[in-house]
Amino acid sequence: MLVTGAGGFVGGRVVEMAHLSGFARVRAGLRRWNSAARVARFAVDMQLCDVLDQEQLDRSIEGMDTVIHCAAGSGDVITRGTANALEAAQRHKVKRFVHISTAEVYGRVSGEISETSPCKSMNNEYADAKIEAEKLCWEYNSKGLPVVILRPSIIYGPFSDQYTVRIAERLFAGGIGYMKDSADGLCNLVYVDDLVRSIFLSIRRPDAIGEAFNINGPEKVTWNDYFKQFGAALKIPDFKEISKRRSTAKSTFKGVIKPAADFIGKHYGGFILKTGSKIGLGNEIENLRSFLSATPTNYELELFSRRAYYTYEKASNRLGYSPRFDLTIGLQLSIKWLSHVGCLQRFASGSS
Amino acid sequence: MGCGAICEEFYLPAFRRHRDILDQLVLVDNNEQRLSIIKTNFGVKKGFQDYHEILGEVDGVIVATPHSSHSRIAIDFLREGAHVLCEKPLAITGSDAKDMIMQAERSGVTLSVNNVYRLYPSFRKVKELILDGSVGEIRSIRYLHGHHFSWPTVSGFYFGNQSRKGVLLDQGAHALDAICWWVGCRPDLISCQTDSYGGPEAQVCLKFRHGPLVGEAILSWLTPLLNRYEIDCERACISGGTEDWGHLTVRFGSAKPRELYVDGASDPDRVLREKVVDNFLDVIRGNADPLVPASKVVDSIQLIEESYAAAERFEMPWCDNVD
Repeated sequence: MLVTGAGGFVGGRVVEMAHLSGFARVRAGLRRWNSAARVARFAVDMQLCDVLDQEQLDRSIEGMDTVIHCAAGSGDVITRGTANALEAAQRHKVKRFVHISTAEVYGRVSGEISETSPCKSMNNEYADAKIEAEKLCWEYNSKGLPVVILRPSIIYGPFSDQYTVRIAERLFAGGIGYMKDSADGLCNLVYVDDLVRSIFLSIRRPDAIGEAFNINGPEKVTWNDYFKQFGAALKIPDFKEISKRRSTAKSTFKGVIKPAADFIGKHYGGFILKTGSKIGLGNEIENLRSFLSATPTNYELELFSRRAYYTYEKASNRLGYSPRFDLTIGLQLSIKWLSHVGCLQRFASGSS
Repeated sequence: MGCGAICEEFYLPAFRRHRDILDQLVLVDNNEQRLSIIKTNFGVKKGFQDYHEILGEVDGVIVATPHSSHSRIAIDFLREGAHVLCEKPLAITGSDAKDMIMQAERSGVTLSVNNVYRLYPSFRKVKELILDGSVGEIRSIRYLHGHHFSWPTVSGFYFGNQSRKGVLLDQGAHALDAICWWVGCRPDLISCQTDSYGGPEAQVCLKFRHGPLVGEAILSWLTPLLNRYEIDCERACISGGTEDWGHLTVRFGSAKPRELYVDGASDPDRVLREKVVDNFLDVIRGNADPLVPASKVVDSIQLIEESYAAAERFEMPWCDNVD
């Protein structure tokens, strides 16, 4: 099987698990060679497979009967890349095309959300592009391509930059903590290995074709639960309580100054750091950078307070999916990995 | 030899200052398209896909090809009387490195290696402090260096089927060379752990000793590490950034740490590449000795080789649990 986006968090783990478990002969599709370091350790078949490059896609799909489409990126990469991948899969008559979508396609919702809930735009580039990509999947499915769509919720675990590395970093930096009613929404955490198992099930089950499935973890935990349990497992010495007023104010301030700071950092970062250090402002610059990095965005604050639960009952009934990793085990493994790759030492020392 | 990223980003920009040399420069790469692009971008007139066509025709060669080909290509040119500057790592094995050095001696030409950290003023200052005896004997060394692999490799040779060696060979060529250089010899390997499952490793942890000195080096292609070295000596502790060009810290006993600024170049990368290329041109003209003779790095090449031979896999429960 071909895994697009094999240099990424989910694609990388699909390659690892398929290879180590002997589930399938796997080909890792990589956008660039410099994203190969993780999967290359397994001496698997690797191909350059930029989903915006039809020729590379064709070469990568050649001889494969399954495509796991994990490649993501900008809105354009998601929509055009998915269109290209579907077209190539159709041309090469693949037997199963598994599209990794997201529960974000349901938009800003609350309550129990099943696959019958409609997809709704929330003016978010990533989520909107995923909605468009799903539409393309259904089009190709109606043309005879056997497509399955998986809608995972919040995926965490080793190599998760967004919901493992960055959360740990911000817990150490005090940007997040116990955030009271700012983070009392449901977190919908799914450990990456559970998602990968659901992918494998969706390949094997004939009645999965033409269906979308929510994929979630075994527990209903809030974001505050996640932060508290993560903070405790990391033994954060000064676990912060952050009021709603304070977190909203900080995020609003971040929303205002971050675009300018990003621009200045990109074009003049080196010069400013060097000059700042020379005139004794090194600490102030570092504090601002740390604040911008640690403070949740307005989008995240909305996510943290969203009271939606994405039920995986359909995946359970139709695919036989049953998540195995509860938060305690998922965090244990994540923290062992964070320690192994030196993140904990780095965050504890205050460097990023 | 080799029109990959290092040729494009390091060597050729430095050659731009030598218009007369650019006219005499010959590029070689087995990828015709890549060769053509680089020739055009840098205004180089001559290019070949097979280096055998220019054996005996050139007086100096920079070998910037995939690691595993360094010794074969270098020996071919050395045999024909060309001076050779080789990218790091000099070779994959100690015996390859020694063969290369012997060939250079037989042919009466120089063989040098682009182990650039030996040219960093901060790294040189460390060596100076150790040599002058002011800090006392080294008791321990810790060297941590890691980044997401971001080198814009064109061929992907680091990960291709021909390579089963990863960050240890790549970054270890710098880190272990610095350690051997500072210690003054090759320390004894205690253990080597990697995360390889048959392919090139992306993380490695080495433990070593030399008499009472104990040390550890951790290198990664997966995530940033602290990117620091700490050298604990009898009378002082020396520390610095593994990429810091001109700054280090020395703390004697319980005294306040002293920040040493040994070079303030505003563009160290440019300084470095011009220094390396200018020196090699002077070496070819017979006007200078090489900055880093190949013989200096044999210890680190041997330590890398020993480490691979002794390597065991880390315990990685987050990875192995795939029933």
